[in-house]
Amino acid sequence: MTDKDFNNCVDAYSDGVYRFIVKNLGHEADAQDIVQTAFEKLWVNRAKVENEKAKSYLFTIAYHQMIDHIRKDKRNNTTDNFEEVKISIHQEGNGELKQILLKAINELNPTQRSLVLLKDYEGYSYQEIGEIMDLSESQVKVYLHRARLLLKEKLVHLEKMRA
Amino acid sequence: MKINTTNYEEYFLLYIDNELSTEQKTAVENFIEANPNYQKEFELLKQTVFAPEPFEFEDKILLYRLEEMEASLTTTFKQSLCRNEGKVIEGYFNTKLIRSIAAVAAIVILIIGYNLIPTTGKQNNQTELTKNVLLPINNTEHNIGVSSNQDQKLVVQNKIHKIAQNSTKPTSTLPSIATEKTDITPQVGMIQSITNSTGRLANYENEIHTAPIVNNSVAITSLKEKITSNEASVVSEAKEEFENINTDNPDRTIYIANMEIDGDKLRGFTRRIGALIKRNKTEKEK
Repeated sequence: MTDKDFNNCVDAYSDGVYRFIVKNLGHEADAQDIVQTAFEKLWVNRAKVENEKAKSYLFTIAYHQMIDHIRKDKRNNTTDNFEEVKISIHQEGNGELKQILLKAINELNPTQRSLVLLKDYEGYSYQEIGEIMDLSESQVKVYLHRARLLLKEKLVHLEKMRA
Repeated sequence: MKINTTNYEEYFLLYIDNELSTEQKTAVENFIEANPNYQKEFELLKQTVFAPEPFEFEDKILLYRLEEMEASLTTTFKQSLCRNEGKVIEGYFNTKLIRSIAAVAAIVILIIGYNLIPTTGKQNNQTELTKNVLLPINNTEHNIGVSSNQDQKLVVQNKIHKIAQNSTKPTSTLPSIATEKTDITPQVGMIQSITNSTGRLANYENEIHTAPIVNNSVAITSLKEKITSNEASVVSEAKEEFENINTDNPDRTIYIANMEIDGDKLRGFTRRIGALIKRNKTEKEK
């Protein structure tokens, strides 16, 4: 990867990496730090990373950084983070269904939430998600399907409430 | 693999995750058409998919790597920035020995300057009184040897007259004169001794005049020798007195080349050095 390729990666992937992290964490400043760390590592290892693998490399680094950050945060105060996530996602929602879905995704664990976001936002395949999150393809499939069914139950519950 | 009522959920999930081939997708759609009661469940699962929304990372400038950011200095330029601390060389006058030598040399120069210059200084600054005392006496000494006895008498008388005049000067004119006057009193005593000696001188003359007209040259010469010896004793006495008078001279200016130093301020210092020199001299003489 050349210097120019790296700068192209910044243009192409920084928004997606940032969105993935901020939707998971719900904290913009922490998400920015994680994105910066991810690109810093890409720059350091640019000689080893192929241009085609740059995106998954960035998401992989960002995801692991985020998990480390969540673990560190859990030792201190977990409830605050949850509130922050709720607030940030509530602000972005429009429509009752979307709000319920956003509330439901906040109730998922970080792994399930990451699976949904990587699948829906970035369109990664199970295999690619498995590479990013260090999971097997079957694990991705099982965990993601479980997350979908949970979200569906939330929607069913909403339907029942309306009825 | 055929879609049925037991495995439809997995196919539905694979369908919304876009993990099925086109044929499998068609198979799922056909299953829903054939079983419309699964339509609602399929729609609910489709609603769990989050549509991608635009999101921008604003601080991309922090991520870009520009050439200027990676600029580095060459090794030659870095070497030019290096500084080595040089050895500290002690100054020539830093050692104690040289300092002490310099101090001793300065003292020696001062002593030499003090010993050379004051002789002329003292002579120039002598008071009129001392001049009056010294010069006539020297003249008398000279005259006694050369001129007649009558002339000697007159000169001595003049000298005595002058000294008397000086001694009767009013004390209120100047404080320096007052000191002079106090100095004069021993001089007057000296003058009295001089007058005594001149009196004796007159007696000798009478002896010469009243003596029989025998030109006894031996007698005359013996008398003259007596006179000279008498006068020499008078002069030595006067000289001693003169030296005593000069010690109280208030003007103690020291001249070193073109530089003038007030001797009064260095009085204590010069006295000490003078005392040291005298002590050394006396020790050497012993």
